[in-house]
Amino acid sequence: MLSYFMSSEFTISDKLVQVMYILSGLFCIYCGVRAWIIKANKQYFPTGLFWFSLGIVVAFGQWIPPMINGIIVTITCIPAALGMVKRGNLESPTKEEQQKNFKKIGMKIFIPAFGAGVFSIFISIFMKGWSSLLGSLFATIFGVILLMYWNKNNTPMVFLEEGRRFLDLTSAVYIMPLLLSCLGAIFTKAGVGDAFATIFGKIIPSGNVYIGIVAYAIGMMLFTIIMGNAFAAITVMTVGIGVPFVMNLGANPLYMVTLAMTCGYCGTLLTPMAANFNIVPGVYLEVKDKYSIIKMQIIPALLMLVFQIVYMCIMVNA
Amino acid sequence: MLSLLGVVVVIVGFAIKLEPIAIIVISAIVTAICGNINVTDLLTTIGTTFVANRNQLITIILMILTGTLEKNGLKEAGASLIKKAKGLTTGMLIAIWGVLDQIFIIFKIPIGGIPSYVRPILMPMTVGIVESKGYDIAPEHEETMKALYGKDSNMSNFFGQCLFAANSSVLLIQSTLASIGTEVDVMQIVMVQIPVALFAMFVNATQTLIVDRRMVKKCYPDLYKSNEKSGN
Repeated sequence: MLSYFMSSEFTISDKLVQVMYILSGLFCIYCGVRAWIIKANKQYFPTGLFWFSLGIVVAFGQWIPPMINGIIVTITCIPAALGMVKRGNLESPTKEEQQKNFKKIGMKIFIPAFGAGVFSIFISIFMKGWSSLLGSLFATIFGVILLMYWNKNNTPMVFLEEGRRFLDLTSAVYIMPLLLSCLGAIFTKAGVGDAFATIFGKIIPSGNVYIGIVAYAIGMMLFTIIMGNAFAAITVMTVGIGVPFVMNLGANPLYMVTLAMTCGYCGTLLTPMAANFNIVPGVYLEVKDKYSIIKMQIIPALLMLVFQIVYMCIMVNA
Repeated sequence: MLSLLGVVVVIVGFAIKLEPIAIIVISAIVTAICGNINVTDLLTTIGTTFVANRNQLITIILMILTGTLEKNGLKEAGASLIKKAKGLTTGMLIAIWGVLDQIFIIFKIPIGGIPSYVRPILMPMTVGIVESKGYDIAPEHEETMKALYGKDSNMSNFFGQCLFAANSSVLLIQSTLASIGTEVDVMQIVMVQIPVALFAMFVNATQTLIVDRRMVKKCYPDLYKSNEKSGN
């Protein structure tokens, strides 16, 4: 690990990203240990185990052999799959407290709030080759300093505990997008995509380009609903459906493939498998029905799909 | 063909509302068994993919800041700012945010995001619009707002990102086309996507306005009438 940071092979940006992962991981480990110490609920042991083991992979995953990482991730999954990761004892700050602090600090509070965006823009314009992920690191450091300066009650412990309240809120769902990425990789390794395209290809009548377009577009959507990711679908569906049923009948490939991608996105709008877009944001907003965002997206997703199929049919000979 | 059993597990699992992470674990195991992936390979794949995708956990570090911002009055600031904008309805604010969000995405400006902007700033502002008119926020309306904001950011992201020529989705389209023997310039792909992006912007904003208006009518009939009178 030390040799990584001393090595000149990696850029400062790479090293700072690793520093950010180490800080994030240590914060998860802190949350795990706090869960064990405070014993806020009956499930304190599995809850702590979840955050602790997650923290280790997040912080040090770069230097741990992949197989050991796999084992630690599996350990993280056990309490999560059994629904044993519970929220702790932390309550939201009261409205009175928020109002009192607002009177003290006032509208200036927006400055650190916009920090992440401002720093990311600054990096992408002025610091070529630096990861814009680092905007979050800089924004956090800058924001913490400002808040400590403005309000002496903001001790380091306040930041840690308020952060833990937020992390607690997201609970095990937080790692769902990552686990889905892993599942996607396993699907690919087992040849799920090819099997799907083969079966789908057998049921489509060939010879009519418009039927082919509808099958290609709907196929992209269905495949994405299953895999949770249009990127995984586009290559498989283009080779399996697009070429034999659409392009070989003389359709313009530029329009067909480009629009097939966004047809896939209509599937992303409809699937809980795309948890980072459809489930996790709901957790941040504390929605009561975790599928409410997907339900709201059904109508626009279908409208977008129809629009794109019509567009593809019009542009078939472009 | 057997490998498709893992997919069946996912579909059935979500249909009978199992714990989502349990579904993923079971599907992974079933797929590995049916697809002849041994334990070492399975663990290595999981470990490699998990570590490679850690950037999805970027918000952990921001949580340290966001929690304390909330405690220090960020929500109050948002609500008091919005009181100055008379005549703005909740639906209009959510729709405007959707359009702005898509413009940010098109120009790859890293602003937006549910945890960093919507929860701490926009939600309190939107709730503040209702409260500034002397009504308590109806729980049903609040839930609808959350779903609308979630939808805003996905519609903007998915149908805006292909207008940025260097975006990974555009590059993937380009390489997919190349693999079937069609060489195109990224700008050609962007041009094809323009009508899609515009239609998405229209659909997104229109749906928001209709759904929110219906909610206002249902939850606060008096407020709805006075909005109608003043021409909103």
